[in-house]
Amino acid sequence: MNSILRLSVALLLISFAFMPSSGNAKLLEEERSLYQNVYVVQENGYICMRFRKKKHNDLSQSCIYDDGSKQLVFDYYKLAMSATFFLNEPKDILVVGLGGGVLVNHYKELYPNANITSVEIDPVVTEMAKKYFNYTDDGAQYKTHVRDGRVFVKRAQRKDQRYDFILLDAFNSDYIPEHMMTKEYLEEVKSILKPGGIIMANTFSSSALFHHESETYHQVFGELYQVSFKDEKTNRVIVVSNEKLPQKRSLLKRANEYKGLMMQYGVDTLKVFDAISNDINWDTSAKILTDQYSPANLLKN
Amino acid sequence: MNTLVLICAFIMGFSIMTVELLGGKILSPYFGGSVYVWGSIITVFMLALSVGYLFGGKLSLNEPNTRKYGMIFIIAAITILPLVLGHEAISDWIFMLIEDPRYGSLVASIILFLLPTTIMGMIAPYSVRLLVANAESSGQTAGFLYFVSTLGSALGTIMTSFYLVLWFEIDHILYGVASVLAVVGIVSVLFPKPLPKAELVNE
Repeated sequence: MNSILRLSVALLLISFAFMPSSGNAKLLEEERSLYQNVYVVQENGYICMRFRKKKHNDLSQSCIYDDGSKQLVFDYYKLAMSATFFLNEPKDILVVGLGGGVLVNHYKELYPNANITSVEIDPVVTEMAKKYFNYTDDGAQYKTHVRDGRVFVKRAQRKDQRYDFILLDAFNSDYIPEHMMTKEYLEEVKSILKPGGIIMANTFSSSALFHHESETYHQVFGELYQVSFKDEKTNRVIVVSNEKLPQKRSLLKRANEYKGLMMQYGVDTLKVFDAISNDINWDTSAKILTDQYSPANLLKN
Repeated sequence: MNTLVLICAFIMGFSIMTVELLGGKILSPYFGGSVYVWGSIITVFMLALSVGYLFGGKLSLNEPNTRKYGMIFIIAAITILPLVLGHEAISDWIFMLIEDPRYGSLVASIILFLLPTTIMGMIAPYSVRLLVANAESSGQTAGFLYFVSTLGSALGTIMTSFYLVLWFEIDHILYGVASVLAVVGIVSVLFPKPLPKAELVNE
């Protein structure tokens, strides 16, 4: 009996020792969805949405400042603001992968007349976006579809729905879902883009997958711009079109125009402009990802 | 015990899970990676296997031998071929026909996987019939067979999801499965093995 007591005390102490140091993190809400556990935490002045609880190796899906500031938290958000250099008052915007809705909220402010359709597979994520990240789809202009992004795009293709700007930002707890990285998927996305429209994809450039992914975009679209800060190479935003992309120097005018406006979001448009490149810095002999061959998450490791 | 039958059962266990796992990859471009796509696939596989067990058991009543056993493998291999050749066209057709991806994925799973999986399911009870020597040891024999075939399933699952999809294209893996099943079937047909001895003594 005594030994059992001692054992349980020891186990209790061990479990305390292994508990993640909570610091000043506060769990606002957690909910199990069909796809993942969704956690909303408040820490270090941010409110973040995560799909994993562990502190190590976790990937915050969305973050905002908890004081209501409009400043963008992630570098990739700032990189994604480069869309404004390419776009000319887009009428129809499609966002695949809503997350906290941070980018959608900013695009709404930048383009108040645009129709914005957001697609999100997980209803719990949509609910949290509305509850904690000020996302709303009130008004006829805005729609949120709870649906797999690929299925939505395929359906849109058949229904002749077309968009001026498409943001690909679908992520699960690992990376982009494997069926949303393939040549066939990109071709479907390309087919629902209006002539001269822009597709922007949020990606990582930190693994062997980078070569396969870059080459897949290259094969489907030809020329592509990559936007990534020199000092922070992990996040990379890809910009492609179904027509010829503008020369980089022609984007400078817009970058200057938006300089003041973007300041309130904490975005230095000239720094973002500098981050744009059309260099081919990947291995062009890498095997492209297709519906037949898409071991994307295995290539990542 | 008949090693050939055990090897065959192991290969069948492996093949069933390989096809099932690739099922998710085959359907996701059309119906997404949602949980109900997996729900559809697993439902159809379980249903097909249950029917296969029933048919396989029934078939084993009528003069069981390794020739007929091999024929089941060959037929399984043949029914996998239309799956490989037709999955894109069929998925696309169902996608157009049924808007709700839950029922879309269910109908596509039925068309693509029901027949080959039913045939594959027939192997388990037929293997039991070929292995069992007498009533006393029948439970042990069946237990050992399940052990071997389920071990095959475990290996098929991990090999497919960890390695095969990294090394090969989906259709090539399916052709590989069909070829292996065909070879195993031909070997069973060409080199028939007698039933266990105890049985022959009783007759």
